[in-house]
Amino acid sequence: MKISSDLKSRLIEAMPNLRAFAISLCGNADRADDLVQETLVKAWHKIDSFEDGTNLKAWLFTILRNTYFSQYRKGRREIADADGEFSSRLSVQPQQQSHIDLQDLSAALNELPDDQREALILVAAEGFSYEQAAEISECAVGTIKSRVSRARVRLAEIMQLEDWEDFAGDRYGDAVRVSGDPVTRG
Amino acid sequence: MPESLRSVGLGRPDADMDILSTGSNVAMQGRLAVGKHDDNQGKTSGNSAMNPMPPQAVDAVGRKLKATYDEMLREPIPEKLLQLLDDLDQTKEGTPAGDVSADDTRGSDAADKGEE
Repeated sequence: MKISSDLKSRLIEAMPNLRAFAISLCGNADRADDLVQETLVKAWHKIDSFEDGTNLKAWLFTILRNTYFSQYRKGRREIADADGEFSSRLSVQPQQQSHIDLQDLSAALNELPDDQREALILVAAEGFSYEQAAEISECAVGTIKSRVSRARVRLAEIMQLEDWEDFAGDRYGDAVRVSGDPVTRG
Repeated sequence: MPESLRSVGLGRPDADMDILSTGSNVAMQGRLAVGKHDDNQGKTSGNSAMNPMPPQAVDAVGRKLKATYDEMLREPIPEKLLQLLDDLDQTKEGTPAGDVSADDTRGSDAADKGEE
């Protein structure tokens, strides 16, 4: 098939977003790049089913997340980097404090259920509307709203818990340390 | 309550509360009383249904998420992904996904040299 150079440049344009979404889902950059690669190959082969004038990025995200959920999801837990792929992927870490923040955030994201993490990234990080996110995730708008809402709160809770942990460790030693994995997956 | 639970700080609402109310937690943003009414029944402090999060904390984490994601968007795209599009473009019919990964150490140079 012949792909126009315009379309090719639009695919390239979407790549950073595809990678960031894939890293968020996979929790591992190597697998994320494999996932992006597979997404691009699939997109290339079924480009005829893309309706010109519609949102290419949303179309690509749909392919990526379907590929993730059908093929990549089950390996996630074993491979995800506990210290956080988010932070380790960042080449620039301006301050020590922000480095710690990023690790916390990444670890907290890893604690979220897959569907909540997906919804949160699509809406809160990527900036899709609830309607677009619902189309990408192939579920109802209300479901996306509720996932995003729960994910936001859950993420804040997890990160707060980690702050307690640090504080407790500093101030009280192990006696009151909130250790292990007190946050159960919902 | 089993001693083992005490030692990890679970089921000790008074200890948790102490941490809360003296916490230097930025995300708390002055809402130090969160959980005070709920978390006094020996529940674990991680029980999300018990502690309504202050909206400021939720917003702060949301902004951090966005900032971190935006940082990722600024990362350079790996060469192999850019190369992939060129490869697909050249083959026209395209190759199955498996072939692409098996082939990714061989650039178009190798293919050219193999000709003739």
